[in-house]
Amino acid sequence: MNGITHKQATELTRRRLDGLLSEGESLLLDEHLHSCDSCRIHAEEMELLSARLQSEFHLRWDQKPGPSHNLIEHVTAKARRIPMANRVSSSAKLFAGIAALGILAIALNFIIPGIRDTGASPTTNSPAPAPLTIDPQSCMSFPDSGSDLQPPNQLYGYEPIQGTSFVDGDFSYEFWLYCDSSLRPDDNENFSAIAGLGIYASLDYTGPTIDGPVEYYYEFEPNNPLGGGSWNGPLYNASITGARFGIDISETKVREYIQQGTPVQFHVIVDSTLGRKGAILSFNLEPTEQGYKIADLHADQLDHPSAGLIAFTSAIENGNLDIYTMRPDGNELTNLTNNPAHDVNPFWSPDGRRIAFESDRDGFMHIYLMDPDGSNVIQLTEDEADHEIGTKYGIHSSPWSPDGSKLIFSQRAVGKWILYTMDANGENPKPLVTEPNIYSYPAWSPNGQHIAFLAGDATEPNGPRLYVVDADGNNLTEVTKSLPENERLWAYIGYYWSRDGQSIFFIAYRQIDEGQDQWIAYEFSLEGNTLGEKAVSSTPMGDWWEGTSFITGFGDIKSPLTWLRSDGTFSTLEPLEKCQMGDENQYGATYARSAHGNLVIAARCPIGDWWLYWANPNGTEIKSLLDAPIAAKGSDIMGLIWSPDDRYLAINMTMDGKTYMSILNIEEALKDPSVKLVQTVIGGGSLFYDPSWQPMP
Amino acid sequence: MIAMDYRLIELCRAGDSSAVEHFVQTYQQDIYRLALSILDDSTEAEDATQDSLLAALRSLDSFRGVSSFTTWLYSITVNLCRTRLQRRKRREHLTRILGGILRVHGTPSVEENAIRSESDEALWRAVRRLDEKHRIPIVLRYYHDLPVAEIAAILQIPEGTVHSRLNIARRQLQVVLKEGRS
Repeated sequence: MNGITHKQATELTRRRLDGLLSEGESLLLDEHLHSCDSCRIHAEEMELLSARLQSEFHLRWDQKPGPSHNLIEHVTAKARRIPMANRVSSSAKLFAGIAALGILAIALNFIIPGIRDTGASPTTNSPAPAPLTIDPQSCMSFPDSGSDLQPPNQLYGYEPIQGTSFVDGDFSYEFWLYCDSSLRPDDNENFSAIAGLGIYASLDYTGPTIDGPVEYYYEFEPNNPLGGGSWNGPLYNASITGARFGIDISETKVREYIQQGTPVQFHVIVDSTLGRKGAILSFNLEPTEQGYKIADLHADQLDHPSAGLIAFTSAIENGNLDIYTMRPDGNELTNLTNNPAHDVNPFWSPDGRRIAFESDRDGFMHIYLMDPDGSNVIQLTEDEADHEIGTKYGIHSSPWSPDGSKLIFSQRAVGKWILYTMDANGENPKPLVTEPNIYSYPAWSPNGQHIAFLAGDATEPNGPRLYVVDADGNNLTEVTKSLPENERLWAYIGYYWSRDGQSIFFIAYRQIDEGQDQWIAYEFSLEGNTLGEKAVSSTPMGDWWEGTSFITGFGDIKSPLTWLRSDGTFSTLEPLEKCQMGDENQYGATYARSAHGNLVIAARCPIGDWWLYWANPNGTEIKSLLDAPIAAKGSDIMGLIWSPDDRYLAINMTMDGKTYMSILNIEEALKDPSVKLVQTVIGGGSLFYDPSWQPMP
Repeated sequence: MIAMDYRLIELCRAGDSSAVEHFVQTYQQDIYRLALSILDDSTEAEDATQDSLLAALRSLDSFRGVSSFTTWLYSITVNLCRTRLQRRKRREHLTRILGGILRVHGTPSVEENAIRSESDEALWRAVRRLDEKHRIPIVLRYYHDLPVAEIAAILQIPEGTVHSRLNIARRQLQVVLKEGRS
């Protein structure tokens, strides 16, 4: 073999594909390929791929017809309206321009008719299509619209066509199509793809006051809002808004809709602490002699948006840890980091527009941010120490503050960690604690004003302690200090913030005598740091959720899971109902509660297979999720991660020395227990990074 | 690629309608093919062609002759197509959500399907699965047959980055195709 290594040969092969080889390099490569079979095979494969790509692309696109006949007319007509500020300014240029104009005009007079005559270009002579216009006969005088609905005052002075409304609980939506001759496709200010047609939309809220923030907007095309508003305050029982719009979609699109009989759609969306509400207005356009008339106008409920992408740590390629995203259906798998370093532990920002992650690309483990496509990587931490997003041990909720302005992180210090917050641009790091320790399960209060977390681990005499601290690092308070001496924190993941962020619910274990022990649900109120008892049980409680004690028992085969409600009613689940019996010590169950309180429970049968169950927050509905076990003997479930909208569940599990991430469409599984999991191998051995679901706006 | 007649640029700048017509006629095919290869949707490609030509006409003054005129025009087109891809991603997202309500369109025609062999389909699916960052350089290299330097100028990124994106894309395609075979 000659003087280049295999690695250099690979790089030269790549450079050759891109036409970047010098003659000398080319000779060196050829020599090497002559003597190295594997390098030659690789080079040939790459050449073959290149050839296939070329042929595939040409096959695919060359056969498609070119641009339509009307393109020239459209462009020239619109070009006429381009402000002529661009005209050459100096007199010399003007002169040259005029001279050239003369010459070229003569030339063009010869060229263009020639082209027209030969028919070489089909771009001329076909008349531009008539503009889309609303049939004037559709327009009626205000207020006698001929409809049962009375047009709103906002349409006074216009001619209403037709209206419709839709009521969804406390939200009601009203829509009107109306005639407005000033709306035109060639007017940027008063644009409407259908000349003379406008939409009026209004929404009213008639329910009890709900907490802010509130955002509402209107759109023809998803996530392309035309207008709207947002505020931080509560939503009161009152009309929110009404507004008028032109048909703000491209003319081509509208023509396509008409041709295919697809309705034009318009959305009104309201995001509040109640979640997303909204309505869709749909209508068809039918041709008449004088334009188009409206048909099939109706309004319907806007389905809530699904989870976005799932971001996860994986060693799919070459065993190197990178961060990937994919759709819940397993499509669009993308490596975002593509870096030889360890890139791990992604967390989506609350607006779904940024991903925080950890990487050791600079030696130490640092925290970075990137866009959802992996671009715009920014390093947030600088100190020469290892860093973790949130905490190393256990993720309870997002390390992002609810408004996305801050992040919780940990910095390694003398073998332990210090907990900090920082601004989302890496500035203003503030320690939340002074002593290095093992910190875990941090959780922001829903109003973003406080942070709760656990300090210490199970090796300490009383186990971990629960703390709460103001978001600015002030007022560090140990919640568990208020407990009587014979009580300590139970179920670490069993603590929750109240919705108003003013108190924390948690479970304590009261040691009395063997067989007499108790588990108590407490509410710790931040106002006055007082402790209130909510429920007591003689068997262990997992958590206490809005009045229901979720009693998990001792984790042995004889304990059913029980939901005990404050009115004294209860429901139970026997997780072994589907099991074949075997070694009873193998029994176990793990569960995860969603942000909305729904539970998913994975129960391991004595023979080692796992079954999934779902329950609503207070256990009045309990269902088996799938008609087959999700994993066989020898597998272990490492994490159950709900999507923010409760529609999907990601399951991290290990089996036969490999780690898998499986995604279950819960909504589908509740309807059809035969749905299949989407399963992806993400590494060998155990991978301890949970995936993160993209919140959707 | 076609060399732009600089007199024609001057005339278009001056708002001459014959010159504009000639300009559109000269470039529409190339721009349409470029848009089609990025968007893979003839309606959208048509809209993008129109937008690109208009955007170019609007900003002829900003063309300084540093790059070739076609590179400049391609750059405008690629940027507009990217914006459309982003909008499409958002739109597709909601289309999926609204699956039951919306009539989904954009599925390949019967003829289109008929001409595709099994292996072409696998390759095409693999190309579609590439993210935009890697797919566009691949399309510019293998469909438009552009040199790396030209692609770098169009995408306004260093040549080394184009080379590395092409490598990553080829590697991903190779992996997918191999998996498909096994």
